[in-house]
Amino acid sequence: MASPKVAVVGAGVIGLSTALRITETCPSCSVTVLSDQFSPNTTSDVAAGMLIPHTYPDTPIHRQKQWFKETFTYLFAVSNSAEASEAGIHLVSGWQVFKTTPKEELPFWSDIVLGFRAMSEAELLKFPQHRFGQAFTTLRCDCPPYLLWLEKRLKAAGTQMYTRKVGDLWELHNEYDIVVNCAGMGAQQLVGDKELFPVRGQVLKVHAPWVKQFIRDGDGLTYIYPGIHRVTLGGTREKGSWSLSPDAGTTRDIFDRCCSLEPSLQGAQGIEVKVGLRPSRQCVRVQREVLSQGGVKLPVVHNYGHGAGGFSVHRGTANEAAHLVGECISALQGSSSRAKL
Amino acid sequence: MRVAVIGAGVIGLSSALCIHEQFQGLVPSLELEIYADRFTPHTTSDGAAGLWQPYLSDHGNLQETLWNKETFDYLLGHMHSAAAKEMGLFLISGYNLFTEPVPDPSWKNIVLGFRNLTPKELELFPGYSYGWFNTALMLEGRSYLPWLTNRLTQRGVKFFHKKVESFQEVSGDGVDVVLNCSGVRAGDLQPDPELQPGRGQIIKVLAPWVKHFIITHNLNSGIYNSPYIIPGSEFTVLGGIYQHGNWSEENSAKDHKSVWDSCCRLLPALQKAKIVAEWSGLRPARRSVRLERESIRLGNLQAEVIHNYGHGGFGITIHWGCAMAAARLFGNILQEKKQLGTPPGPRL
Repeated sequence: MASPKVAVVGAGVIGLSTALRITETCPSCSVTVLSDQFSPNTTSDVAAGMLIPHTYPDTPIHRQKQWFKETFTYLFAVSNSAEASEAGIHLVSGWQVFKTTPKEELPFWSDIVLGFRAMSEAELLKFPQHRFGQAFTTLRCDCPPYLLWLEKRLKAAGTQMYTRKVGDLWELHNEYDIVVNCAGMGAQQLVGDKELFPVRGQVLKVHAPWVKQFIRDGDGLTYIYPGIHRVTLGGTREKGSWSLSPDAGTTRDIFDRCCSLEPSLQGAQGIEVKVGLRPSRQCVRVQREVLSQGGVKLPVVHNYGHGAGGFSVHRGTANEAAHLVGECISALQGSSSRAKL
Repeated sequence: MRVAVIGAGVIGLSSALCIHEQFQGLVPSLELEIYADRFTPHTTSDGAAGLWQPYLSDHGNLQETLWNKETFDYLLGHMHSAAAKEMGLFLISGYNLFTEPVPDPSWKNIVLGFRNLTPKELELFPGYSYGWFNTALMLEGRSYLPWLTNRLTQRGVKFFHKKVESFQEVSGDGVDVVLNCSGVRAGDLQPDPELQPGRGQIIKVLAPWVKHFIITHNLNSGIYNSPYIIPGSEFTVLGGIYQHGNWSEENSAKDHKSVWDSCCRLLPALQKAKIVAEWSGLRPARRSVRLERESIRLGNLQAEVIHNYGHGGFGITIHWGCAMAAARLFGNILQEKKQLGTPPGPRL
């Protein structure tokens, strides 16, 4: 197969980073990205883009750690280069605070982020309701800049991108040899995955440029994440809710919770409210599948279900998905050479 | 009781506020007047980035270390107040970088979370093999000085825009105490060979993705003669110039290039940053801060002068400790003049 034609469905952080990785591992591939939404209208655009992993209950920890490590290493190099500002990648330090001491004092990712340590008594004075805390430095992928930077690199690699709603993967079997499913929440309808469910998140993006540090409550519900131009205040985790409409009561509640962690936010300006549906699953689905219909086969690589942790593991799962695409190509080449005999 | 304050930088304004807060209730006739040739945003304090950080070594000057601590604790106490944003006060973390191991600084237990850098962190800074990470405070002059000015105006303190040429000028006419906060030009009022300008030049850029301060140190070239990057609430300050004895307030193309090139080497992403301004200022450098009383005979009058100048590149860092010390000296003067029964206790 001279130039395998690969379609990547989805243009959030998963779709774009997977497409980019495929152009790197398979330079002879012709890659096309198809999505009904592009930045700034993807779920990824709502997310703060912080590299603080979410733990998937059914994915082995060593695999999650490997994904996070690959992602962190990759972005660390970008943050240290002249491209950092265009790519929207920057280091940020801060605190994760707990009202009750967590069972696991050392999360699996503590040796991958920078300078991880327990907070001192003096630092905890700032949080009278919290008894324990962790201080560390991590990375943030500011969106839209990061997605736009991925799109720019894809274009430079010759990737085509089209706005198109794919209703069924079989729609693509005539034009493409391999389909990569990075449809996020859309995979529920696209491939009928009943294990995928939305976890609704509402956030506020405010102008508060004096906030240089992140603060996160260990319960994952309240967080303050400074980005390049705006600070993301969150949030909610509403399992099973499909509503994309901002809720005013929730806005008030998020603002109050964040102000209690960081009182200076009372002076924040220009509040924008955003909603995203985390495409959640007990384990991230990074898997090869060969669909079969009436004697026709369609190789598919799935890469979806990253829930609250998409940014933290995106490069790692893109690496794995690209590897699986390579396996699909080998399989196709094997069968096509057998067909020639 | 009339008090004339000379100088409206961070030292003059904070000393004035500290004295007024402590004594106005005790000395009903207290009248404060502030005289300066430059007010915010044209003072030396306005040009400074505003990072709380003393020099690497206190040269055995424990008093200055205590004043630094007093200032940090005072500011930290304001962090949760509604005033913090208006004051230009916020927490910030960052890096101090060295080419060789150095002893821990006198302020390691004053700042928050002080620790050495890990090998992975040092990968960010090729050419530097040792360093510190800590959380400190920013107090931006362009917000803090107007905030101090507002507090003083509310209290009825009067401001006069004039260059004071001598203590005599302000000390006649019932003025009993002169607070000399004239910074780098204190020598014009009274010669002081120990006071020299420590000229600095900075470039202000738009680089909102920079969230940490980065200060490099070259033990050979001395403090502030090595690149530093300090992100403010609106602009990021790039610097790295310290020229002892240079009185020029003109921007130099050579210094611009030195700062720009060295900061871009330190943080390559800065190459894409937009330059918005350039500024030169004169740090009022002295071997130690001059904070002491002096009785000055002027004709048939005697005036008490409280000197509070020579804070070099750490004026913001030390200002409140010095303001409190100046207020204590003022209390002594009041006691001597029998204006007070007993001196006021320490004010928290």
